[in-house]
Amino acid sequence: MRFDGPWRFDSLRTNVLNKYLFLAFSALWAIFFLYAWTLSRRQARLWRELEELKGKLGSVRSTG
Amino acid sequence: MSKILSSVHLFVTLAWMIVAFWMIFLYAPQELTMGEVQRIFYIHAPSGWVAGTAYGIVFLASVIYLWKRSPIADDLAHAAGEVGFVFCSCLLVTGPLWAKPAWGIWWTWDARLTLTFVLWLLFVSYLMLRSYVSSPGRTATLAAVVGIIGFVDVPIDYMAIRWWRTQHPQPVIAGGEGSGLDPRMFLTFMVCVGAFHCLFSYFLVQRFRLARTRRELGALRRALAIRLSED
Amino acid sequence: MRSLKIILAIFVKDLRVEWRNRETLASVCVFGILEVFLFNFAFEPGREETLRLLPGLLWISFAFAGVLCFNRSFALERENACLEGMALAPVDPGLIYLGKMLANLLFLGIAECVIVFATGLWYNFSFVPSLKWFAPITFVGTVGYVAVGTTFGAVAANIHMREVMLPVLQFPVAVPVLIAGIEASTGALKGDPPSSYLSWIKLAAGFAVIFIVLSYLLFEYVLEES
Repeated sequence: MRFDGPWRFDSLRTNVLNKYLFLAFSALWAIFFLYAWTLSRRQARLWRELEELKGKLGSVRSTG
Repeated sequence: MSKILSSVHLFVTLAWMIVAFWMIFLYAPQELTMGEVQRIFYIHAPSGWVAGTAYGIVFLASVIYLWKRSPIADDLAHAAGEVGFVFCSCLLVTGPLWAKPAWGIWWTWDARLTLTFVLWLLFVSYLMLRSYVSSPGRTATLAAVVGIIGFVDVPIDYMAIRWWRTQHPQPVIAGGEGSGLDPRMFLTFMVCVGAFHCLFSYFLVQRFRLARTRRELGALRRALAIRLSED
Repeated sequence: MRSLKIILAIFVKDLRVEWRNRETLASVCVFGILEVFLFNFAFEPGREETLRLLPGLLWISFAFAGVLCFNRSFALERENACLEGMALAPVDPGLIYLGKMLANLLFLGIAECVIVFATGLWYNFSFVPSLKWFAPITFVGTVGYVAVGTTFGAVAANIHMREVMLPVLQFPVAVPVLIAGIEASTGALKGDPPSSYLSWIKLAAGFAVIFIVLSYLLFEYVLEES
């Protein structure tokens, strides 16, 4: 891959090619955000269950 | 404390990614033959490096698990496997999106692409194994065995697939990451590699903590069951 | 010496079990024949075409027949908790692996002979002139394939989707030996000089050695109880 000086614009071709550029970067961010979102959802669910269990354990201890 | 560290980690990651993207679009020069679309390379190749790092961590954690039976190693292996799968998927998605405008084809079974797909399959099979083992006590050990076997297999896969493709030449894909890169391109590339690894480390830590939470949950459930049975 | 006796004992046990009902052999051979049968719908077997496609088709048939074989090999052990029994025996687990591997090698080898015979018959292709090299190539490739297949068969025995999981786990890992088998077979069947495909045979042999050793070392972890 070689460096070419000032930017060259062949506008129609550039637009067509830029569609793929846009798609690739969008797909990347989409994947990252999707994953981050699923991670936080799973974490939140686990924390909820953890709190519930801690509560139950606490009440068993106080009555037992 | 860990929340603060987590926020700092996220901040550093985002900052690094922003710098990387600035460099991709405004610093790196346009490539001669492919034009703008070549910039996909800066997110494609680093994804590959991260996938490789992830699998390396799976391997090391698996070995440590079999040796020390440490649940931390097991959780780390699982986390690395899952995050590695995400980055390997990015690799497989960005690749064809780059290949189509650059070479006119979505896919070809050249050496590198075939190996990438095999690596992706290795991640998939590793994660499927972890989900589908019937007796929970066996998951960690079996996953460790599979992780080790898969990792040993990767260099052999690489050799075999490369020889095979030398026998059957196909359209040659890309000049390769390091071959005669303009210094600005090289710098951009290395910054992207760093940024992606930083993002990987952030996801890894979060996924690892998820696994630890799940383990804590399991322990609490057992404690509760014992308590209730005592009454 | 004792190790050899143990390996042989496991091997003979598997043979004896198989001899009683011949389930594995029958199903694997029939499956292989079915594969060869189906392929005839995929292409018109002119001589040139056949030579081009045959090695690939053969090895794909071997690969899927192998999956059946490995699944059954450990599915059988699950009945009456035989696997746990073997794991408890005061025996190096790696030897159990070697014994089972030899049994699988024999069964798959028989199936491969049936597949090759059916192919030769139905596609009017004589394997005899190339047999001198084709047979050892197939043997070495099969050893490598069975080496990983046996291990993953044991792993998959613990999963409740084992029929699907075994190929998913095994095929990515087996890619080098399948490629090597196909490439070397192509050379042998075409009548090329052995030097042209020697590197493939070496790759298959190296693969077999590496994965037999690795599986031998790791098998105790596959067998152990939680």
